[in-house]
Amino acid sequence: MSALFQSSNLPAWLVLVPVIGGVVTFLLPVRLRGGVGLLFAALTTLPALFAGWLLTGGTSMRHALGGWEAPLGIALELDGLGAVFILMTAVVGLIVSIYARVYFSTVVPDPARASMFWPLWLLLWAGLNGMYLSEDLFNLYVVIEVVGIAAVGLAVLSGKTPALVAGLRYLIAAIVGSMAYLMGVALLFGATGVLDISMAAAALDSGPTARTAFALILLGLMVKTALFPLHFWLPPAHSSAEPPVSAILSALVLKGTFYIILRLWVEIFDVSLSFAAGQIVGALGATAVIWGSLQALRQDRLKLVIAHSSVAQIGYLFLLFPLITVPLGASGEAEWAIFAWTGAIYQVLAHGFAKAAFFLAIGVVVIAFGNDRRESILNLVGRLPMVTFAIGLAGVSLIGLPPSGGFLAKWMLLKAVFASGQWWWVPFILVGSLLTAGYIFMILRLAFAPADKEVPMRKVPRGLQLCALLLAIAAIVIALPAEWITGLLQGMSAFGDPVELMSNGGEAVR
Amino acid sequence: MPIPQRVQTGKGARVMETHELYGVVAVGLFCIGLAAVFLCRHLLKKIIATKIIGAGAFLMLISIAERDAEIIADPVPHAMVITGIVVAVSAAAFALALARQIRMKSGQSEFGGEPK
Amino acid sequence: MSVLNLIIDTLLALLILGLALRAVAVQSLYQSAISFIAFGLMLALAWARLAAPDVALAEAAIGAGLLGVLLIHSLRDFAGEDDGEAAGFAIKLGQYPRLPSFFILLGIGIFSGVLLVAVLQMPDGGGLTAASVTALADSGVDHPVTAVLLNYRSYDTWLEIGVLVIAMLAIFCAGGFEGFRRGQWRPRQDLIIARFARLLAPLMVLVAGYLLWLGKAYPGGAFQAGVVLGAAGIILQMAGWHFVEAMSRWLWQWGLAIGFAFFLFAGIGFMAFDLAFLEYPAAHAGILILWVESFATLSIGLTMTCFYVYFTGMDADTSAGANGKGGAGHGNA
Repeated sequence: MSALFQSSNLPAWLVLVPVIGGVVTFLLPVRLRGGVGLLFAALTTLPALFAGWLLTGGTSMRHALGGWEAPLGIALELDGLGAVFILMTAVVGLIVSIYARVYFSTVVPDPARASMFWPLWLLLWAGLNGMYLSEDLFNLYVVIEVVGIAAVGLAVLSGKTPALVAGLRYLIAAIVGSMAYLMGVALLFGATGVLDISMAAAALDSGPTARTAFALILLGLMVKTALFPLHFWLPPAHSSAEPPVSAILSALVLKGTFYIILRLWVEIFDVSLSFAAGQIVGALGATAVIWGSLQALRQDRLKLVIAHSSVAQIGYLFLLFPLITVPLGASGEAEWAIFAWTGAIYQVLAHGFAKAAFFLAIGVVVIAFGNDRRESILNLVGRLPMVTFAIGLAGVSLIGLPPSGGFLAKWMLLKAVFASGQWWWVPFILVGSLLTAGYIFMILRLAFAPADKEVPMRKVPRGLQLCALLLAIAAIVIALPAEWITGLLQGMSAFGDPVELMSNGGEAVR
Repeated sequence: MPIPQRVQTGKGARVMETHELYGVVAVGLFCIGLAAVFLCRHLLKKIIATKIIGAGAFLMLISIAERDAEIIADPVPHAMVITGIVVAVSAAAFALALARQIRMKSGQSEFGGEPK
Repeated sequence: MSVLNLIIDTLLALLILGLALRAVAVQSLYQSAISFIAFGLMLALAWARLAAPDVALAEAAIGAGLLGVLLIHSLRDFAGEDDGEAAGFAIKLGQYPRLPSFFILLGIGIFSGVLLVAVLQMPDGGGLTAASVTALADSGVDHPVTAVLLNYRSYDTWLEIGVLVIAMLAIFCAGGFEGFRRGQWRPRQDLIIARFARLLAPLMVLVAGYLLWLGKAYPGGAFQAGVVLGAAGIILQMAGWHFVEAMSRWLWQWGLAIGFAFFLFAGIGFMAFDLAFLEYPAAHAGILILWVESFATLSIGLTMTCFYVYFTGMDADTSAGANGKGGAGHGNA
């Protein structure tokens, strides 16, 4: 039996544990699903923690599925970057699972319908881990679809009409996105004859096919990551789902496709990248920061504020690309690449924790007051102090105030921006933070404002409030183990090794 | 004889290879579908449009498999497309179920449309 | 490429493009659905022309067949909208603001040109034909496509069977209840389809078994067999044999999940003997694959039937909703 759990099988178990959980919870009767689902959520975090511990030295491990090596077979590869994403998924996933267990067993009137959350969520989790591990272009398409269909299924779990409409819009956007990705993969396969990422990278030559494949894959995944102006589906879908689902969709699902873009950008497409490609993607990200924040300020419902905030926060992530796609020979490039990578990864972590905390906290507000309109949170601090505290902490991280994870993210990005001389990103980062502060303080001001007359309040289980608070605290203290996380990243070949372009801005060199 | 022989095509003027012809069709389908997803407003038609986009991507893979034929066509893209068809049909069935439910509950048959 | 072949292929190509265009541009929803089904069948012909019989089988059965049934079935909800403004290409009717539509078309036109260049100038990567054939001896089967699906890239296939479970769950979420309305076991005598069903269903089960066995060496295998089984199930349901609704909850749950679960079980089993996930010992690969395929066939067939049955259950919702009794009698837990 020891062979079953030897460490070389770790990449497989990261996918298998949640899959087994998904199948088991599907087969169980409704009343057992919540408890067993939570058990499997806890079990799923075990291999993730083990992965984090194992990779601390900065190594990577490969598992050839079916015993077939590439190019014929599919390999799973666990490296530092993937481990960071897997760990974040595990921590957020476990806390959201606890919240979901309490939420669905006490608040939701229809337990039979709510119990479908568990198999779908665990299978989605498996799909996410699969994304962070896959070394195969077509397998990525399959896991993208696993995550996409499961995500939309969860988004329509409430069965309310706005959720259904938002869900179909989300589904159609997701299908178009994954088909564009698949078309790009078809072109890559035609040009290289392989599907393994590193083999395709070695065989790919610059040319119209590579460039078009790049554009298709990038566009397809940008739809799924909701990068401006392809974010139209996000606010309605994220704001109409059940609270634990909103947390999963915004904190975790968006990061999956971002990870794929990041991976393919540095591993395959460096051959057809130009300075301009990085700048264009960066410009979209910068626009998203401003646009999303402005939209968030204008919303009347808190869930919509938070959903539009996701559009803005996702924008920050894409500022990484102009910073790692730079002309060769610029001085100090390795150094600022480290800043840029750390900044972007911290943005992933900080947004993951803070946004999940926010959605869970707003979920508590909705249970307590029956809606999420601004006015309903007057004097929140007096009535639900723990939730108010969670909103405050998560807000600190979203704005990027020290000593939070969000501060580290924005600080590192700014450092990279200055070191690279791409000063034109500075106003976007700063104005984005100011606008974020605007809508966070708008929420907090209401929470601390006295209410003229108290609206009746439903009692909320303490566990729900605690989950929101835990995630908010995580968004702050994530700044502490910065060295350890940087250590995990250092195992990656792409880290500290920016995509180098010749100084004339032409084709990349390997 | 486990491996089916491909029919040998006769000699003729080299106008256009089969795989090139179908590659062009694939591009056509992809773009027709893409345009229709934006321009068609009815939910059912949007769903049909996504299937046409998918058909374009699948046809591209199969035409590449034909190009890479050595006695038999490349089986890897064939397997990919079979996988893809099943996944795409599952997604389309889900989308249809959603569209029907939306129509039943709200009377809408397009995004942002008036109830009928 | 001979001239005759070129003519056939060109005609087929034009037909496919024309049907696709008609499916999205025609105003009548019914015509649109019919064009789409015809499009699927022509596409299956194209797969056959491109030496992909496995894909042709899958496309004709699932792409055109199952989806066609679901599509036609959905039409009745949208009855009377054929001539509505929503049905046609918006640009034709001036429903959409003209300028954005123009820019969308312009953008996609430019994009199609770029894509065309990319396709026609695609370097020849060589593909994996030789590698697939060389490894065939160790794969446990003799048909290359089956070897790819169930051995070299079985991880994809396994996940894909998982997607069927996920899609079923997602459809349950969309419909609002998990399970199937308690139907009446009412074999119909009066309909032509009932006579067909009696004749056809047992035959189709046989064909499914044969296709499954055939997949070892020839085009065929779990998917094609599963789809034929699914079609048999749908025909039986249509004829009034409501067997899905008659199943107890645990039975259909196990039926839906068994393909995925057994695949998983077979994959994990040999990890205890120092093999990778989904790796089979070469000596037993053939028989293992046959078992995995058998369960997969069962689940695929049942899932296809269940999609259909759930759609018919939603019809009952529509009529019940019209009578103000929506939501009664959900599930059979």
